[in-house]
Amino acid sequence: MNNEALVETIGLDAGYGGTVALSDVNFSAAAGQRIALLGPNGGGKTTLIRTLSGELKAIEGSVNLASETGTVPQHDPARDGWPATAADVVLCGTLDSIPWWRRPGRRQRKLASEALAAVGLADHSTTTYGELSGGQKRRVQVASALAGGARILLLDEPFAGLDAVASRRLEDLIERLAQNGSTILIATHDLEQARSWERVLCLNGEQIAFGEPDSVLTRTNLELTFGSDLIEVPGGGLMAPPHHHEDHEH
Amino acid sequence: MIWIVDQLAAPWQSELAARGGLVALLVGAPAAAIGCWVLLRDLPYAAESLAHGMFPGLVAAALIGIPPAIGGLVGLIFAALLIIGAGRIGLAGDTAVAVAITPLLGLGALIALAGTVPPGLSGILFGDVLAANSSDVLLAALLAVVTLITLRLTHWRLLASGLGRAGSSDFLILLLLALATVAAARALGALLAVALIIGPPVAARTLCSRATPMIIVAAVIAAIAAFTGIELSWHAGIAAGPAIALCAILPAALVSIPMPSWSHRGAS
Repeated sequence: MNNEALVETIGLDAGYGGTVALSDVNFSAAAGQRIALLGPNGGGKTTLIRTLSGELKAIEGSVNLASETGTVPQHDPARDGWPATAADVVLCGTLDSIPWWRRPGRRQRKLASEALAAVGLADHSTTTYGELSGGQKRRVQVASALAGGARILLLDEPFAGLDAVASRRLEDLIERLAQNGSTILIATHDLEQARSWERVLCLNGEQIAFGEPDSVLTRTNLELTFGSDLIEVPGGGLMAPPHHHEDHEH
Repeated sequence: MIWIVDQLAAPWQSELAARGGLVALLVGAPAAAIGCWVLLRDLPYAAESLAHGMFPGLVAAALIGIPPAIGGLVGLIFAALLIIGAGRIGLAGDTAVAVAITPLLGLGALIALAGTVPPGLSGILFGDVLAANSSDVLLAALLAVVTLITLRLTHWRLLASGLGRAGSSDFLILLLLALATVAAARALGALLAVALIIGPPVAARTLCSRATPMIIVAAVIAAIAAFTGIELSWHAGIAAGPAIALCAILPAALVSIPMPSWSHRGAS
């Protein structure tokens, strides 16, 4: 594994029940890099995230990770009305580091408190999780991953359903975490956003391209990635088809 | 005032009522604590079904003359195997539970009614907490300790399971529920045991937004239900089990009553 890389895949085939949904993925990402995962719905972004997180096993090839991973899934996994505060949710992120019979102690509470402060929600520690806005919930989930010691963050469509203000806050947080040495993979449909990050990985059932935005975000690569769904915008620009999501949250 | 205190103290001067109240308390508080997770994980149907599923075991225990807890436990294992069997033939979830449990209830009734010496059907169905002896107190105390220690140790894992941060904890909850059901059946019988498991948590859920306070409040409500149930039974001359069940459910009914909003009075 490359010395500087926190994440590396070599000839990775991933999928479900032995059926390959995403093939031949080769990329590596260093500390401090934000990697945009671009692709159509069903293109393999979530499959890659679930494989990197260890939820799915690689069918072929290998995944090398130099740190714990923390995932913010596309759909909030919390049950409606679950009786937990923001601090509780973050503290639950530390459970993997202690034996099952032990309760989180002072060290775990300190980690959780720092993580909540890092995402700018220290004032909401006692707020019931269900009362938080969509954007705040995503930040709490990021804090939960950070509290668990993850330096590799896997964010699956984190901007889906957020309004402009919440998106901006989350984007600032991602930038700050990258500056502090985290590697962050972000599934997105926003080409402009992808252009502003350090690397882009295009997927459409297989790896189409990987590298710096200027070299990857070409018309040819985008057509291979999104096919006929790619949208031409006035002025000669291109836009990825939007993610199918519900109402906006803030 | 002294008259009221005397009246309240009256049942507790009877050894039978005092021991019954103690059993109801030892059974009720842990049952309500585990009931909180049952409610949160949407498993009340499983709770009711487990209580009904052990009915044949309780009847058989009464006929053979072995402790009801053992009969109830065997009944629960038999019910669990039937549910698994129903699942194996393609029935899913609640359907498998319904198909397996309903015949068990019928089987229990058949055994009870076929015997030449009736095994005290009303006690099995509705409990006979005043007949509790010192081994019932010991068993209730033991199950209470096991349940409360397990809940304390696994609290954060149970909480994380509802946040998608840990695997499903339903098996652990169902296991503890089975213990609570076996214990509660002695006090309230196979039909009313679920009142102690679900009633207090429903009221506590309305009053608390966090898990720990909810569990404490539910356990306190169950303890109060044990006390008031014995009082009601003593002074109204009704059976203790149903009286405790009524007191366990009443807070849930009270907190569910919509309150009028006086702040909007007169607003157009």
